[in-house]
Amino acid sequence: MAEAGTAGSDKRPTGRTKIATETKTLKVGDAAPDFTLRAHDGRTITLSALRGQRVVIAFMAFAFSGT
Amino acid sequence: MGITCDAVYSLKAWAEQLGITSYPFCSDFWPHGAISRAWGVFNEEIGRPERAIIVVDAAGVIRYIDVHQLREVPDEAEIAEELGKLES
Repeated sequence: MAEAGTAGSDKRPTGRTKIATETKTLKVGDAAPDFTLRAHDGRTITLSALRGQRVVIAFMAFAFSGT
Repeated sequence: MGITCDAVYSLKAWAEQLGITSYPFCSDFWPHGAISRAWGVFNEEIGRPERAIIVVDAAGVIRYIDVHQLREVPDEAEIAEELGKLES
């Protein structure tokens, strides 16, 4: 596994280990499966209600874990 | 938005600690990891999602997937570049 580092002046991470550009169920070009989830601020978020906007979804391991 | 399998109460405390106000942290707590599993990023051995960034365009189509190691910083420039390619 390559070590993550920081490139000189532009701060872009280097040596990142991109595991995959698809998931076990999805690839680029697929329709995003809809979901409705509760958010930290009390809202209920439904992905399909965000049509018309670009959405970045970050799956993360655990709160407070630094990951 | 962020998605974890933590309870919403944990996410609220975490967002407050980080000062997050501009985007939601969403709870995939119960049924545990159901959305993470549907999106193919659930780690069945550990019980939490893999670290992944997925960009969805305005029509609801997936345009970018980056599954990466824990503790590695996502390449924000690359994500911004992908967003720039999409119609807003």
